[in-house]
Amino acid sequence: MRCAEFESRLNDVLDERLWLDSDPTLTAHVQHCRVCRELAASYEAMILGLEQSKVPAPSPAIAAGVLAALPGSCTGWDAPDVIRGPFRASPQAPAARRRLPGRRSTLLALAAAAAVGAIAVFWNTVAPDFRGPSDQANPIAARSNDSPATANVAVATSREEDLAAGADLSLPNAMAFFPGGASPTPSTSGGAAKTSSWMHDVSDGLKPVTSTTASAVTSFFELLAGNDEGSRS
Amino acid sequence: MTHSQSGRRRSVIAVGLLLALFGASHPGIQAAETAEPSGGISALASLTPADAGLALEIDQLGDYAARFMGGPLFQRLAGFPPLARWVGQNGTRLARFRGEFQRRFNAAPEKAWSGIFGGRALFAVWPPAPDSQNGPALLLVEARDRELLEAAVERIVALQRDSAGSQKSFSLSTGGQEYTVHVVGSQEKREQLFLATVGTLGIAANREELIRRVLALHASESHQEDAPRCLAELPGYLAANLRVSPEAAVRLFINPRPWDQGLWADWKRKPAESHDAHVQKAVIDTWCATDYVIAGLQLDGARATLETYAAWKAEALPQAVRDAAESFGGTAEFAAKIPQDALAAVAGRVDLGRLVWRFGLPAARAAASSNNESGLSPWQPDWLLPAALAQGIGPNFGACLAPCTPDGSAADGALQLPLQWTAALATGPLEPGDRRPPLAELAEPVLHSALTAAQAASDSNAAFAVKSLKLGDTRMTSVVGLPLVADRRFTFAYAVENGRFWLGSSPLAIRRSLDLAVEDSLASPRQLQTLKQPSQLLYLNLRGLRETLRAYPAVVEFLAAAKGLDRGVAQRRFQEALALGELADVAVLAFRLDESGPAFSLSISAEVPASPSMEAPDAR
Repeated sequence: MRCAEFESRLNDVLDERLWLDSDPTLTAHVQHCRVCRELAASYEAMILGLEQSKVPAPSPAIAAGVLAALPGSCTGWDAPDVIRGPFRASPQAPAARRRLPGRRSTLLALAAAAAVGAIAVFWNTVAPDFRGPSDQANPIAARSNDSPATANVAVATSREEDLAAGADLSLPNAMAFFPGGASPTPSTSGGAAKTSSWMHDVSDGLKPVTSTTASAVTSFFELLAGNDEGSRS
Repeated sequence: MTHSQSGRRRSVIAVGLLLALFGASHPGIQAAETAEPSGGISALASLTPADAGLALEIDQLGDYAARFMGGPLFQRLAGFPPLARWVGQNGTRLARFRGEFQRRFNAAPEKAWSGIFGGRALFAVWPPAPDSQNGPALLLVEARDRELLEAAVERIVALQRDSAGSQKSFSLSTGGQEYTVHVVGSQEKREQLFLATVGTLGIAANREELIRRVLALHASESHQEDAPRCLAELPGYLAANLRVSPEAAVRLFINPRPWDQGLWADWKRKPAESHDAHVQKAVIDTWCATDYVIAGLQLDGARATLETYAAWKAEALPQAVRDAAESFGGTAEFAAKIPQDALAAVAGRVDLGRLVWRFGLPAARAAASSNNESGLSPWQPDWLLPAALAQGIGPNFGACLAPCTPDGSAADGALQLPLQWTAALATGPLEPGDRRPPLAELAEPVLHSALTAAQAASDSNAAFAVKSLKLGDTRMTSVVGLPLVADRRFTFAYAVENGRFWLGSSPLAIRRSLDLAVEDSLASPRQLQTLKQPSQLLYLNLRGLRETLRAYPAVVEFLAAAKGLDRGVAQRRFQEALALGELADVAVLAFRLDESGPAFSLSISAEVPASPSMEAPDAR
């Protein structure tokens, strides 16, 4: 196996929520390729990191707000598909194969799902104007379907992304509402250009301080973090 | 892997480790039992050589962070749309960095954070030598968990050994004490890191000489020199630390002197007559006149404050910088005329006359000279009047928006806003030293005559009225229904008092500001909780603004009409503005310039300081 194929295949394995050692080809490759071993370890670290992430505590007011905003016929569990989306049933791998952190508590997952559901309902009903296009590009959250630990991360990430999708909440947009507020479109006025030029001149003049400091900090922490040198086949 | 890929990857890892540390500081972190923020100058400054160019210190940041994150401000920050968007975009990466940290150091970032960085830490940087790109750097850590610190150092050494980097250890003897120093390094970049632990003290430096100096300071080696050996003996550092709050969790001290040589060397590399060289000369002259710069960040549950101070020798500043500083410096007098229940306020100083005569007229002269070469007039009449008037305008100005109760007296269902506004501008004689009256007192009779003439000339059926009343020596004029623009009529009041021109939404609004006592104004330190006697001040009572906007939807309609927005767009932007305003209840931006140097403060708070009960008078 070549290194170029390794990452793709590793992703496939992780997509099924399996560890690296469930795939003999990958296991054999990392025996002799240090760089791919490091890569696999970094993926493993990422999964571990996700496990450690905490679920943000929802605001005490959110439950009341959601309940108050629910339409009479919609309970929040039978209406929006988005609630079930991230937690839909996933294909099961053979029981004999070692799995990524699995179900520890159905209750916990349900609680996490309830939180996501509440947030989803909130964003769909209470604040529909705040919603933007959803971000689908989160393979980690997607593959963490039924693992409580990673489901927690999914809750966190989903909430964060929902907030992020709120999205077009930008200061220029909001300020444009007020008298004298700037237009949300980028300003090309002479005044702004002059200010920018003035600031650029000053920051350019101080480059011997700022750039050398940045360089020293980066170099120092690179050393502290340790080397990751190597070459890939 | 190419060099650039390798470098990029290592940079990402380095940044990641930093992010992991900061990302780890979530509410789950528990404050250490013994930790009471002590603030002030830390013992680590006694171990940092005095010629450091920059020092970043954290002091019980874990405790402060835990307190902050358990408070209401952090809850709002977590939901602040721009930050939430960033976290949403980078949440996966942060999680990965946390995992990477765990993998590399066999310790959860939270544990490392509270055990190693939860106490005091100092990171210092020195300017590089002329032939080097990276300057010396030093990290000192006063860990709470000695075993964890030693394990982390061992892990760094082990990682280096595993990755085939260079690694060795040696003993260093200084001041009669023996220290073991581990050396790890990158063979590719020929850089080394020297690590040592002494009890709970962790030391990391990228120069052997630096770690020797630190250990010599630790061993309290005697010295004969009079010059300060360490930061804690440096007068600039001592003076700077007296200015920031001892409660600051993070402090950044910049020592300008060590950087002077590098700045001048960079300036000499530029073409002598170039614009860049000219600007950089002014920047470096200002830098050389600066004794220190210090910034501090305070965090508590309901408030976050960033304060920055610089100290300079005013007489050593370039003339242009001194003129600009004097134009914006001094105390914003109108802060004392802004009521504490203001929803939004600005007060400041701009010496327009000085700016125009110092900068505007020379620029106009230069432009006129170039025009003259092409046969055009040597001066342009369009700037003569503003230039002549500029001397009499300012320097103090102020404006505020405050709530009031509409009295329902508006005719024909005209909109009455629950707001009153006041603006004020100080004026002076048109020439310095002139004993003639200030500009406002000269202009007031002219303005009054013009309005009276306009009233006489207007349609007698139109609801346009000009009325004046005398309040002591002050004549207050109320103008109702002035048809300045087609289809729109304006109602306002104005007055001139001691050379200050007042404009307001009603006579009562002006009267309230005129009669305001200092202790009931924004100038009260309790209210501002920030710099005293600022030169420029921006105050936003976000909670008051939110409540007003929610309670009076008509304000939205009015603003939408004023901006020419349709209803849907206006409502959406209104919601966006409210969402952004949820970040805090009060935001204060203050800037002060005086002989000692500039000072800056930004404070956001999740609670409005209690103010004495003040009834807003009804106003039209």
